[in-house]
Amino acid sequence: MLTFLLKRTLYALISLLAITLIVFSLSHLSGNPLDALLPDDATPAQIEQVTRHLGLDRPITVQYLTFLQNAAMGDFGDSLKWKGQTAAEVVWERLPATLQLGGLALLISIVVALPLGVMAAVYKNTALDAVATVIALLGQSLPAFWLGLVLMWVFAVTLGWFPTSGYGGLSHMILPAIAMAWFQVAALTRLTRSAMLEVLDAEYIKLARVKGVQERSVVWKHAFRNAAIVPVTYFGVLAGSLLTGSVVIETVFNWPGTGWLAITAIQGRDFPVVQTVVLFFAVLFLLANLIVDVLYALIDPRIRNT
Amino acid sequence: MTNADPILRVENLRTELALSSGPIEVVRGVSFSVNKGETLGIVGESGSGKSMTALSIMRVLPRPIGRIASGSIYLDGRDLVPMTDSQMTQIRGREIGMILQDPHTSLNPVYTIGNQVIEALQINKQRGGLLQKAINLLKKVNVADSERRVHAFPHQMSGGMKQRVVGAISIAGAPKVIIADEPTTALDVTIQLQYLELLEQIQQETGTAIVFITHDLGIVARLCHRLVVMYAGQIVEEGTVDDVFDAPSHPYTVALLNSVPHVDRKVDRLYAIEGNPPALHEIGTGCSFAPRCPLSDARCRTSAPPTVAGRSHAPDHFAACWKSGELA
Repeated sequence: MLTFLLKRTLYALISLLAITLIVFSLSHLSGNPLDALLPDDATPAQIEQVTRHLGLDRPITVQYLTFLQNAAMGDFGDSLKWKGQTAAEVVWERLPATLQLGGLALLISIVVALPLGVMAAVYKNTALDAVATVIALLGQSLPAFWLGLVLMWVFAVTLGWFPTSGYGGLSHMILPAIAMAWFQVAALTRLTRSAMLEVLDAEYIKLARVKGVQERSVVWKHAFRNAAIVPVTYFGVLAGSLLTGSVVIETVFNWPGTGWLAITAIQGRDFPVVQTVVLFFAVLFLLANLIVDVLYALIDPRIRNT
Repeated sequence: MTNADPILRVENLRTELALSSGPIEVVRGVSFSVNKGETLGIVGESGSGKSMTALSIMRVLPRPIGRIASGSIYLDGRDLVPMTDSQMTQIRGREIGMILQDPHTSLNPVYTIGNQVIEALQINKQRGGLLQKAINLLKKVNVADSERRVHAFPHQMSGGMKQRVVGAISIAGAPKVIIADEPTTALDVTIQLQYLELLEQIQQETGTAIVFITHDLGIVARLCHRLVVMYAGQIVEEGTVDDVFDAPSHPYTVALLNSVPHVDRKVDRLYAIEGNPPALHEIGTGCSFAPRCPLSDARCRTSAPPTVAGRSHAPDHFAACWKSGELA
């Protein structure tokens, strides 16, 4: 088990290193940062001075190693757009809002989708299964911005139960979190349902029944743990995409998260901020997938022992 | 052994599967009984309804399409058919145990052997010292090194060992009847005999009745006291193993016995029964074996055959055939 974990962590670190290389290269492929930094009528002397100051005159490998070294210490340079702040500070300010909203959306997705998918499989071809199918169909076909606006109109404007938009406590988060989660609920419900249907047909489920196990325990102890591999696999994608924020939802609900930040930074050619955001997102994805690996090992002994 | 002491009695059992093309009857009026301490073989080809009969008794038919349409299943005098699902949960594993066909798929891959045996013990109201009880149970079914194996996962064990574990689970509640659905089919030939000896040993120690479902007549001869032969969801012949093997009274039984290879008889080609078992929705009013039967005539194809005494003239030997008298 320990070897397995160490191996997976090592893989994650190697992936992270590859991502830093890509991030570093991209910033050099997308145009000369000097164009964004200096006015059009800068003198050659000024250009020379800034180039030397930023280290752009040194060999590319040295630049990369310097970048790595600084990044490891949390230094991604100064933001070009938000003057007087470092890129790390800009991202760090926005990160809690995104993690709160994404975390709630993640929680909603799991708490709703897993039981719904399991029940839809157990009560296959009944009214409950039909309801789950409709929820899934709606979630996968309604665009998030439309759903967000409708939720806002019904529950905030008409009923007045929640604030319409803006950053704040739990009541501010509920509507955008639901709008974000719905699509994922749909996907996760369908995955869980099909995985459960397959497992419920297995011989060991038949054996559990013939040995007199209560039906509830047949479903949750014997079937669900085996079926869980599939939704757990999707958890990596799910957590990654929810925790890195959603530009659409953040715009609709005026939520000050990193999705919005990333777009603004790209438009303003604020490379240090873009790099920082991308690296943060990459770390979140890697962490989510590391959790997936750990869950695999916990669920299935055959994976643990390889 | 007489029929005076049946522990399990199935009467006119009919089981349906609701397929998308319409309902079909897979068990069509089956009646038999098993006595205490007796081993009854149920023999037939794939699709003859022998497994469906077993699943009906356990009420673990495929969901949601399978259901018992009519009939009675008396276990120790009580009819199981009218019982609710939760009452049946109390019967399964406690009063009837079951061994499934493929040991490689019938244990849950994510739990240890010990966990799964202990669960069976808990279902049977065993408390305290469960690990030791599980180890003892594994010893009883000859799992070597059971102190260590109790912590193993199914994928770490051989098929023969796994089937022994399934056997241990089935006897955890000291059931009155064990239904074994082709338990040796997926095992190596060398392991098969050991497993049959284990079942005999369990039966001698506990006095449980065994219903042994198989298509292997060699196993029936080795293990069973009586047998019923099933074809297309019906019983076509019933009797003691000696009577049926010496004086088969249904053309299908004759054909089955002819298909068995013998060590002492050299043949170029094994005998095979012409044709295939009928699709169950195509069965007409007559004998369902008539289309493949060398003796069949017009009456066989139109009228259901009567139940007649077997050619051994033993009181418990029957066949369902118009032409039984013409067999020699």
